[in-house]
Amino acid sequence: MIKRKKNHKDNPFYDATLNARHRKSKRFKKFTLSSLVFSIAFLVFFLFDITSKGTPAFKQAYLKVEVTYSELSKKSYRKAIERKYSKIVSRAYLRTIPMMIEENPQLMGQTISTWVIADDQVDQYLKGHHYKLKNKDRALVDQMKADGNVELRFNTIFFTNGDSKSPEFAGLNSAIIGSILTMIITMLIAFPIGVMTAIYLEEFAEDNKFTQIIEVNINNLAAIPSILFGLLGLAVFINLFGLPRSAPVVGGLTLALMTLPIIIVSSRAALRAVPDSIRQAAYGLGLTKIEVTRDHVLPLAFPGILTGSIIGLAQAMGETAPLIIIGMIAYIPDAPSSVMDAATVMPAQLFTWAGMPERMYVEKTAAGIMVLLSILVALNSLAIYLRKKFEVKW
Amino acid sequence: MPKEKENKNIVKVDVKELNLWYGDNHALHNITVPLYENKITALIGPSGCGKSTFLRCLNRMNDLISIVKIDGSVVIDEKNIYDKDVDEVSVRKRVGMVFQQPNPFPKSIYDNVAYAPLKHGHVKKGKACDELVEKSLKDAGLWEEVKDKLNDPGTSLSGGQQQRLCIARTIAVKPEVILMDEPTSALDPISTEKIEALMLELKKKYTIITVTHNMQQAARVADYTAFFHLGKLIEYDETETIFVNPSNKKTEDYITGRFG
Amino acid sequence: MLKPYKEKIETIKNEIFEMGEIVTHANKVSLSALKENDLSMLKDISLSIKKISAKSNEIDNLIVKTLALYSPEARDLRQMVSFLKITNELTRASTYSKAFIKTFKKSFTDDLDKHTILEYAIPLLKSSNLALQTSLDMIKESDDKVIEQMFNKVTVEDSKTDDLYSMVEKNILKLITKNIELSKDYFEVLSSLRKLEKISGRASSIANLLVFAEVGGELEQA
Repeated sequence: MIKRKKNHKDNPFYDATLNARHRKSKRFKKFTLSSLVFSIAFLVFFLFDITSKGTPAFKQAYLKVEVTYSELSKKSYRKAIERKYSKIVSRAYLRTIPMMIEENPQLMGQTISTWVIADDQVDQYLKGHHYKLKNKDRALVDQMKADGNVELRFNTIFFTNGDSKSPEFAGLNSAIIGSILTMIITMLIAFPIGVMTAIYLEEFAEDNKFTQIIEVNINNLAAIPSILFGLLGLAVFINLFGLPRSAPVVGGLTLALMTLPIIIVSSRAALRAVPDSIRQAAYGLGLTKIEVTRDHVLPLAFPGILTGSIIGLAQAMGETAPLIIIGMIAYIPDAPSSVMDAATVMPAQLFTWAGMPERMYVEKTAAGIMVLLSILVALNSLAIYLRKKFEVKW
Repeated sequence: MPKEKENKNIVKVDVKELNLWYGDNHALHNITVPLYENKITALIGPSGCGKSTFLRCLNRMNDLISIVKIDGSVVIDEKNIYDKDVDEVSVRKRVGMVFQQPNPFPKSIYDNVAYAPLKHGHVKKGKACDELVEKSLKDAGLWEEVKDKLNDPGTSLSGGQQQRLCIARTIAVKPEVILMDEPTSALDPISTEKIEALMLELKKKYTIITVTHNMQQAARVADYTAFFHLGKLIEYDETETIFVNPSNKKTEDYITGRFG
Repeated sequence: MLKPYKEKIETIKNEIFEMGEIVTHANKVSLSALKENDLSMLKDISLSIKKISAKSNEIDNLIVKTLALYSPEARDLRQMVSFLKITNELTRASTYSKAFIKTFKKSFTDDLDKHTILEYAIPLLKSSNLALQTSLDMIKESDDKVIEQMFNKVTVEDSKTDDLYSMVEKNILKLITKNIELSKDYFEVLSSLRKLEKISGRASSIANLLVFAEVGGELEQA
């Protein structure tokens, strides 16, 4: 069939080059879309991997055995249960029996059938992961399972206990509290200083070489590798000021130094976003600088400042390297009761667990990552919510 | 200059030999002009001729820009506002300013008007303050439209209403001189007319000096007109004279649209 | 519309009306003088051309100022332009009135056939002044219909004066042929009556201009 050239004489809008240009445009769109899909695929893969590894950690195996509370078991906890169970019941749990007898004297002389925490290898066996059980122990567990004496319950220990040498007893509690205390210190220091610095630089400072140098340096500080802040913290806070090692106060101060540039930069941006017409109107009414800044500029800049600070806080919450240097990587089983006690933070705790040999720590680490991610997402959502709530329409 | 012998007017703002530099740029050259009380004086001229800069000298707003240097005197009530012992903040209490873009504070209508008088200590919170707000809004011709929604944000009003709110806010501080920097260039013709009628009312109590790009507005509203060009004052006379018989050819060329 | 602008328009209207009233008032006194055959009344008429010119200039400058300051458009612009031209028309009408009074007083002697002359002169003056008065009254009207009616009335009176003048011209020429030694006086009377006819011509122009101002269209010299 002869292809006839389309008669375009009656179409004043016909442009022959447009087809090729539109095609290029579509190709570009496809390219950018595929980049987006690529990034999302990585994210999805990561989330899937973590979730599948971490969800088993939220369940803990329990066994129903006879526990004998007697003088004998008080002295030697291993004797509180039958010999055959000694390898499949959690050692750490047995160690708590004498204390239990002390606290509840009426338990003395009783033999109660209780649900006790299983040993970590049993737990892993029941979850279908790699395990290290002897054949007879495994047979015993199978038997108990058939008898209905085995249960997988929600793992509250994960949230109530601190770190432990026994994997089944290890929990995130002390790390969470340590993180909270550290973050409180960080915010108490970084937020006021950061916001005040931004206000000075934006509203009061003159535009000369000196302020320009300060500006450049602050921007650079935000890009410094975080581990260097750890070294700074070690040298100044621990060696020079003599503050206790691994304490939240030191961690807080170090992270505050790290977060400060971010807060300053985002606060300055928020202050700059306030249109100058507001300031001009306020000055025109004969108001002083502080009245203008405090009552007119700050309320408008506040959502932006808040958002920037919360994002800085969320970032600091996930920092590990500087805190390792100042010693928050130590083994901390008990939650800190004050800012001066030794503590650890969540990322550091996860770092420790990731290096442990026992198989159970794999799922605990993944579960810890999930908890940390949820907290970060919650903080960021809080930032968005607060920004929307305080946004003043104009 | 207006004919001296016919001039029964009182000089409110006496500007003598005013010079201004933006860094090295000599922006205002030896401006000398007596601005009369209870009159509307319009400053006209092509873009960049210095009229807005000059206006901002009258309430020391140029002091907020660090590279500005000012020489000369602006005498209000027999005191040069550029003297060392005069606080620029107190100048702005007596010389108010309305800007080109309506810029109400992101507060309620009531707070917009009440904030500055409360801060200056003119009134205390309560009945006195309420009365001041009502009077200011009435004088600005806005009371009827907003009396039922004083707690709504100032930004919820239309453009013309916002500008009247800004005027109310300015007169609440009880200034003697009101500077207006192209107050209607961002508004539609109906709102513009309302503001122009308002200016004619306000001149009974205040001295008004306005910068305008719109020559017809100067013709309609102003008693005196000053023509600026490249930082110099070319001609200053009664509006009727400027628009019917300008003395200077440059003035005439500008007014007839031959340049600028 | 700003108050000063409104006030200026009102002032101009009133001033023009007053200027016209000076002329119509003088004409009315002339009419009474003719009716009562008492020419001494003509002496008392104060119609100072100088004063009228001064007033005309004053109104013209006021119009120039209004045009400069308020840039009127549409009806307001047509009105201003009409008023500017009307001051000229009124000045001319006043010169005609004055010329009539001067010439008639001088030439209307007892030798002439006063009766025949007055028979035509009185209605001529009456019509002419009515035309002028009506055209002045149009200034204060704003209803299009009424203005059209008044315009028609002015036109009618104008043509009446034309007819009356041709009749009186015929009659006076007849009288001249009868008494050739009085021809000079008769010619002067005729020329003074001609002035009256011209006044209504001015009134017609004024009415035309006011129709242009109120109703619209283009300027057309009548």
